[in-house]
Amino acid sequence: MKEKKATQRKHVIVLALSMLVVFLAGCGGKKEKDRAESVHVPEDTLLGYTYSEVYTPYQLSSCDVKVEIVQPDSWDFMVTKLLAGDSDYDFMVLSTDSSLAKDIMRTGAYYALNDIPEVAGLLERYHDYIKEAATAENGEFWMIPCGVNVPFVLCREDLCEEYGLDFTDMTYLEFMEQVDALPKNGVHTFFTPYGLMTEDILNKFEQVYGYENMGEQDKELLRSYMEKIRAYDVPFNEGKWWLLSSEERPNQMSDESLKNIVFELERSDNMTLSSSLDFFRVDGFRAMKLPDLERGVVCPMKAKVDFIVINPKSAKLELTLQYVSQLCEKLQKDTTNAFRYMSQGEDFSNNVLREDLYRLISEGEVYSTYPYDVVGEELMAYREGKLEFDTMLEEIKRNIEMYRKE
Amino acid sequence: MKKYLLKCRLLLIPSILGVALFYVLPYVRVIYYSLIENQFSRKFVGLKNYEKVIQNEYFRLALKNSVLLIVIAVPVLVVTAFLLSLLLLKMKGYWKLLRIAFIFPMLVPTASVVVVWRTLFDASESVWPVYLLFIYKNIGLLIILLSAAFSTLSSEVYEAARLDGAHGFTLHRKITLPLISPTLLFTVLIGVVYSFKVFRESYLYFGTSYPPDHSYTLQYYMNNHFYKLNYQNLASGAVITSLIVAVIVVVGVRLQKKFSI
Repeated sequence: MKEKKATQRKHVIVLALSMLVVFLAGCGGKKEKDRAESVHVPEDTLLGYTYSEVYTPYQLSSCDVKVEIVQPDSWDFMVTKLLAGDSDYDFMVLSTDSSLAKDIMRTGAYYALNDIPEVAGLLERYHDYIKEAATAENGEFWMIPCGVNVPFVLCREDLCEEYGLDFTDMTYLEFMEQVDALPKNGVHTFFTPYGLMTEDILNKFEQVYGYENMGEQDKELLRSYMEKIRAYDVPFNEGKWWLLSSEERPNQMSDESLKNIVFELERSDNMTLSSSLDFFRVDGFRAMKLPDLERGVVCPMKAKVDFIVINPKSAKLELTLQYVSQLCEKLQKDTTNAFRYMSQGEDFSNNVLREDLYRLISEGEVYSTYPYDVVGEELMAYREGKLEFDTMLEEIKRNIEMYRKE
Repeated sequence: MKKYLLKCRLLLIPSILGVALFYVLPYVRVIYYSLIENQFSRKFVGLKNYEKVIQNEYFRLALKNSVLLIVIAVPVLVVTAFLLSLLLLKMKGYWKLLRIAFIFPMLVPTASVVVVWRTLFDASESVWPVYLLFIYKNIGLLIILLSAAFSTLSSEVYEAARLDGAHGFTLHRKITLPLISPTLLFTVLIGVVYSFKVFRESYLYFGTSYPPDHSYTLQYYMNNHFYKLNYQNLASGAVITSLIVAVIVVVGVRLQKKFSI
């Protein structure tokens, strides 16, 4: 009897100990990656998350309040942070082209900034469509726009004339034909980033025609563009320099090299990122809107707005709001990138390129796209020859319906 | 005895705490989230989120597909595992090594299996490749469990039953099934739980959050709402899913009690 009891006791102890081990293993099971993502900053420093380095040109760190901006490894991490209502971060830096931006506004995952006069002051200096995008349906300012980014054609009028190029009132198909026909043995260069072009074509199609209720004519239009995109056989995000000379394009652009560029497809945020691309240094450059998809159907310039959204649960909310005031004040006064921040009333008359850019951005429209899973996967599958055009369209339509209704 | 029981309870505290902390509390929180407007305003809205979720056609589609998976694929999995275990029991000599073969699918990474599956089957029209993948990946574990249960059966019971005139199918129905019913219930529950985890296989198979209608299960619905920051739909869907599992467990336990000796 005694022996049986002792064995029973032994069994219970072993069982309990093994449970304790499992429990402790569970508690201590944090992976190295998790630790890397759990960022701890000093009490006087704010923590911001971003999924790309969009913040670099906005000097977000140059206010009196110290900030640390971290780029997590995964998109899921940021979504989890938002969903969990964590208080250990203070803001996020995002772009309006991401579907997450829309969801943040819809779910109220932001701190309303209406009570901060500097925010209202900054918004006043932007164009109406940006102010509109920064205002939720209930009138709350849900984000602080830091920069407006539009794609455009940058060209030298004299060289365009020399090569017989005219970008006004041109469709993309005509544009591509002209680019293909350019000689490749001159002394000049041109740059056609097909990724940017593809993105713009697809954005325009999505916003102007839409995939859901397209007629036969629209379908044929998309087909012709998709075939062209497929024919170029480059990944969506890649660009290509074409040299009209046998020399390589230098990394650091001298004034002389800049003068040899016939045209480039550019984004406004690339304009001052690097001194090598400082087109303001030399005279003769003009900026004009990207081609439309077909004649007579004018599409607004698709503007992407990089913005800051404040965590409503931030443990350092007071300090964060102090930072917001400082940042907005700084952005209002910033004249180094005047065309980006769109200080209305700014005098651009001394530089024709700045004037062009100002006009282009003022004609913009903020856009947002469907997540990659909804449209991008199918487009890519078609480009890679894995899907027929009609099947691709059917899939896209179905995904959009599902995305909207689910 | 009292002292002994007290000791047992004290020793169990760590694991109970663990379960409470990592399972019960989060579940209570999920229920809470399913009853509020959103996690920021925290306005109580009663069962409105459930109403919205149940009325949603894609939730209903996901629910239908998940239930079909449980109703069709899980029984096929359990019955196949049961029959194979019986067959393996009769294997002699080197044939016994066949048992190991059924463990292999568990060892092979899902992503590798999916690559092979994609070349073998086209799942755009039929859901069966996904069901087969689910069965292939999980059958090993069930065979191990059932084989272990079979090995505990005493041959004396069978001899006695044979003397009483029981043979073949009757022997299994009257002796084997009731004796292994606790293990059988456990395998069914494992099958049900794993059927909810088929999302991983399915997601890798189709490579998108929007698979064909026949493979759109509750996990897709919840995963997509996670990315839309819609915690309320996600939480309501999760609570409904857990209730379904709870009902299956209760029914299973009752049936097991009814059929066990």
